[in-house]
Amino acid sequence: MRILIVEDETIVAHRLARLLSELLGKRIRNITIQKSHQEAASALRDETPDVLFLDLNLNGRDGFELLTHAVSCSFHVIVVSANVDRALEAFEYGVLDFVPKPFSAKRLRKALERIDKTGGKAEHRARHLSVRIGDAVELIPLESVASIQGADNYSEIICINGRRLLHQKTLSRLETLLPDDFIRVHRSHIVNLHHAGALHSSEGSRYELTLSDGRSVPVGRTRVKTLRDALI
Amino acid sequence: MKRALLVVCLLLYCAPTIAAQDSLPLQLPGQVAFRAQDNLQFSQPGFNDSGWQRIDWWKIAFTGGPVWLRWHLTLPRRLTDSDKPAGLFLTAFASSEIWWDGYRLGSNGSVAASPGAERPGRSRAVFFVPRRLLRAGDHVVALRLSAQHASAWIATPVDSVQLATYGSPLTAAQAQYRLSLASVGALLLAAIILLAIRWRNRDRTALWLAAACLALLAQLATQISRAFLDYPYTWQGPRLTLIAVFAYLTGWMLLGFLLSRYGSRHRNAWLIGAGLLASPMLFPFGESDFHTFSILLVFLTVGLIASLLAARASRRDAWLSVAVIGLLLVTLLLQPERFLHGWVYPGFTLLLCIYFIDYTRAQARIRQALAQAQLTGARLELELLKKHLRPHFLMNTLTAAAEWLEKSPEQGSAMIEAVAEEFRLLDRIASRRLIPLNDELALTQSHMTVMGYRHDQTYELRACNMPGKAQVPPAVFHTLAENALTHNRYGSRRVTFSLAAETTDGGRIRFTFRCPPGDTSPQPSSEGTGTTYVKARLREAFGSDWTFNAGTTPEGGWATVIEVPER
Repeated sequence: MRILIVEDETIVAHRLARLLSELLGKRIRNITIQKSHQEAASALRDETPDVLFLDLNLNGRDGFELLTHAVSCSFHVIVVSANVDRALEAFEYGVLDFVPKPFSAKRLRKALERIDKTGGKAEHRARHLSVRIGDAVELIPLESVASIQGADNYSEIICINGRRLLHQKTLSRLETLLPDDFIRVHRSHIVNLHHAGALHSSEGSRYELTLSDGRSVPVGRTRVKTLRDALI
Repeated sequence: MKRALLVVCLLLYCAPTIAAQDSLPLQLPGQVAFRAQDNLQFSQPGFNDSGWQRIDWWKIAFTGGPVWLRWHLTLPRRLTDSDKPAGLFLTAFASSEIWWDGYRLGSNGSVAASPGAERPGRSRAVFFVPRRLLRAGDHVVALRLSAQHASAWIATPVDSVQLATYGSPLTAAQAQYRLSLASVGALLLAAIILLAIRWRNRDRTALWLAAACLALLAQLATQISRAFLDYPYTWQGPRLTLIAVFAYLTGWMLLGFLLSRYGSRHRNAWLIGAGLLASPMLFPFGESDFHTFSILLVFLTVGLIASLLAARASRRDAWLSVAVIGLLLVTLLLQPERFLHGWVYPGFTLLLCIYFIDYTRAQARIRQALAQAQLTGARLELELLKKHLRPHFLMNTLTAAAEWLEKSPEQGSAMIEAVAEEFRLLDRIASRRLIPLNDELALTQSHMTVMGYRHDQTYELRACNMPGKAQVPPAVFHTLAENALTHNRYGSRRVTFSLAAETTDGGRIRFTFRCPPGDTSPQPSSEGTGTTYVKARLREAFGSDWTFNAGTTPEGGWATVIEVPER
């Protein structure tokens, strides 16, 4: 696992690195510490981490600009900050976890379990998806998303108006960030239940879900029951 | 609201003095036959006084005696038709006996040729005149006087002689002072309030004004005592002396108030000079009116000059004094008789009341400013403490402390002690407007120590040429250091900040706080919350008498220069 820590407080960064090393042990490939947004942005261009630990207040500057950019990338973002009053806002942008300072090994373990999906979904759910379009980042409201389709290491976001956008996160990673009204109906499909229509069965025990935009998405056999329960 | 209350109080004090007026008295003719000899035959109406001196009775100047005055008068029909009893009202600072057409009406004291033999009469006497004597036509009134105990204040002992309805002159004399009696309440009320202000605030200006009110009150009381008290004429001299003394004190206290109110320079010189100039008027010679006139002239003139100088020195409220004192002075000069006998007490009472209202309004403004300053001080104290309770500082500090405790317990304990020391210092100084420079340096260094533990670096403050007893607002340099450490990154293990002080002309100190250049960091913004706090503290401590400048140094660092008065 490649970890990037963006933290201007030396001892806090060392603590984070030390505890992560103790918790992850040999799973860690490398831990990089950057002390400013500019250095972090440069490091992200050079190498993509698996998870980013980001402090929102670096040298007195607000880290939300970097956050908005980071959540559009393929890696998970975990915010480590002293200001918990912005936690909800951070979650709405699509962070996996918000670890308040001061933190203990126990709290970090809980955050790491979310990466492994053994710890369940994010505490608060995203309300937008940050999508990189060229050099800019666009925030897509989740209520306008009809479904998300896996595309190798990317995810294709299909909006209700037919617009299609590519997100750098895998479908599995997005799934941990999305609210409960987004349900994974297939290995390669997540649908927004607000835009779900009828569930149809066809030959060979295949199931399809019709969406409000007229499209149909396949439903995996093992997920039919969950979907039916959700549709009721 | 306060003005209305003042008017009501004035009216309440006026109320008891409002009385019904009686019919007008008949003054005896001005010309009178005068003889500085004594013979009881002079009392007879048929006595030939054609060879006597003819003089206006109010100009008759004598001491000792006995002397005689004879009036020849003609009574009009209307007075003789009156069904009310009549009396001859005499105000004379002498013992007296009086005859009407040879009929002895009575005596006031006993007229005699030597001080030992004379029994001093009352200053006022009323002699009943039987109706049968008041026929229309010619009459002769003979007055025998002696003033063996006369004071040097009294040159002309006979003050008034009039024939009127019995008793009415007394009420008329009292009615004359109605407006002045209204002043009694206003002056007493103002004096009490001002003394209360003085007792609460130790304000010397209030004491001057209260003393002026009380002096004028005493002067007024002494003046109007003549209308309400029946006293031997021998008291007239001391009474006039008291009036002169109280007039002097009123003028002097008023001058003291003006000088104190406007912060005039050389106050003592003004007071001594004016006091010496007016002091000859305290000695009895000549008419007392002249003394009162001179005393008022001196103090009003000096007061006017002092007010003018204050107004020219940008004390805008001094123009009110110039206007009111100027008006009184002009009135005194143009109408001295009327002023001294009618307007002096209402005029000065009005003057003191105007000053009272103006002064209390100024006090209210000061109290409001003080309350605002206290609120500002409380806000600044809260702001300073909140800065250190803000999550960014507190949580990062606790996180670093947790790491040190786990990694190196000794260092962790030392860090916790450093944090405790910083909070102790903050708690001690946060509520103060100024603190010793040494305390500020200790606070700044303690913060640098804590930040050093957080950043695993050593931050130190090098202070040069610090004035030993200088006072600065709390957490000024602490905030500058905090700003620098928040907005900058320093790569080296040991980072030194410097603070230099130099004394400039005019008793001021210039502090220069230098931050070394950071690694790749932007400089602190000029108007962040830290700078706002520093400027607010400077304003609280020094008003507008400070300067604050900040900018980059040639080495790429940052310097802040603060100049303040030396305290």
